[in-house]
Amino acid sequence: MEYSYYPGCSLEGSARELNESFRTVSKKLGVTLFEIPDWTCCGASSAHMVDAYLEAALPAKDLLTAERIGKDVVAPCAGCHVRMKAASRRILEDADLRARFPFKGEIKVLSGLEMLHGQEILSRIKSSTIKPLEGLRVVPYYGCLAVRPPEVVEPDSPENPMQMDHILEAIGAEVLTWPYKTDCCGGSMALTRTDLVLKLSRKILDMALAVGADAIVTMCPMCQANLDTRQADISRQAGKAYQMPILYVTELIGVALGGTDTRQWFAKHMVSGENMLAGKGLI
Amino acid sequence: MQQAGYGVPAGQVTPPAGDLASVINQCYQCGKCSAGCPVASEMDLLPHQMVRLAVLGDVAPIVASKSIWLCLTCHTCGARCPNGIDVPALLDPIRHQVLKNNVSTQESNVPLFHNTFLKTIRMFGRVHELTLIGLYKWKTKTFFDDMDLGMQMFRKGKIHLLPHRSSHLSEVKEVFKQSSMK
Repeated sequence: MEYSYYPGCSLEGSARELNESFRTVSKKLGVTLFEIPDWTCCGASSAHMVDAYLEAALPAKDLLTAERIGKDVVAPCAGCHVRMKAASRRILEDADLRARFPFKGEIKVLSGLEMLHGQEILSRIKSSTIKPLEGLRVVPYYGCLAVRPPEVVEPDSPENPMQMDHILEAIGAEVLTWPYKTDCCGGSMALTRTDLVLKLSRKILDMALAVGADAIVTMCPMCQANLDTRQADISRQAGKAYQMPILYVTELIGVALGGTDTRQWFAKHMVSGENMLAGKGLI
Repeated sequence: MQQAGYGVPAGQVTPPAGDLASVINQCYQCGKCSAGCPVASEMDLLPHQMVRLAVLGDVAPIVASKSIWLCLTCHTCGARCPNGIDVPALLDPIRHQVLKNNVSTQESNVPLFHNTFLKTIRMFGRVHELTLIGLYKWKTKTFFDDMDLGMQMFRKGKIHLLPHRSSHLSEVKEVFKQSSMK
């Protein structure tokens, strides 16, 4: 199985462990990823706020490159995924844009979860699991961009998505029911209105604690960074220590498939999760 | 609800037209968008009020509001609206005009951040966190916020000292030349 790969800026920086774990587990599952040559930024949460042309044009070059290569593109970052899909839709609907960027829509843009949840890959995940995550209680946190806007992302369900649940079940984790699967952590205002973000993120952490989760699992680099890096501030504000590991689903797949030094990934988090996982005998 | 000093000179920001106008005209003010909005408690105009004003063609109070910049573009409103009205999709074209015409805004750090973000893309083709954060902090004079966190992230190899320079930089610059950020 082969895909073009669009890592995006976060995966080169704050979400390095997502990049490394996504590549590692893909390889182990027999998926070959071809990075789009010298890709550029998709415009992220900013382009659409500032200029309609930039919103479509920034992802366009890499969409065209991917179409030339001829393989479907995987964008593990939920933000890149939604921006690339939104741009491809707009180009296909708008003749002026299409004249400038002759994208024909012959390739698909897949999210990381979509790729991992594909029938064949999901069954490979299940059959290749040598270290089932028994005793690990997790809440799947999809966040906004993995499901919304639904007409762009086309998730299985915008309110109650199940793809990450199924993947976590396949590797033997106990998936807890909770109401904040798709609530917003405030990621887009991490720097501009940190006060608001602390409020929203604390709500999510509190709910995960209330249902007895050992970790929050996500696929979104903005959610991960926000929930992980803000726990020190939230602890100071709340007067109690928050130590909730925020893990990428691909890191846990890496643990389940075995044979990888997964600690190097967890060490990159602010709340590492290493002790929790080691305490359960999983790493 | 309009704040002094944040008025819009007539004609600078036009209300929604075409398909978007026809979509928002379906609004029957059920308030579901406002009920689910994660930042409603901070807003001076609630999402359903902004939709109503837009239907009436009265965008000045929206332009003058905090809400237009407090919107996280999480799209919870749009995903739940029984009439398929997505408030960020209504606000984006208004935000574009506000920025293009240099209209002064409340919550000005939000547009400043997005502008700075895009400038770093124009510089390098990709985001370079250190340049982005440095420029933003320079402009907002908030040098010492999150200093600790920044150092920790740097030690974990999450913040690069030097930017990656895309070999497609001229194409990226060309894209910006065609936009309002030329």
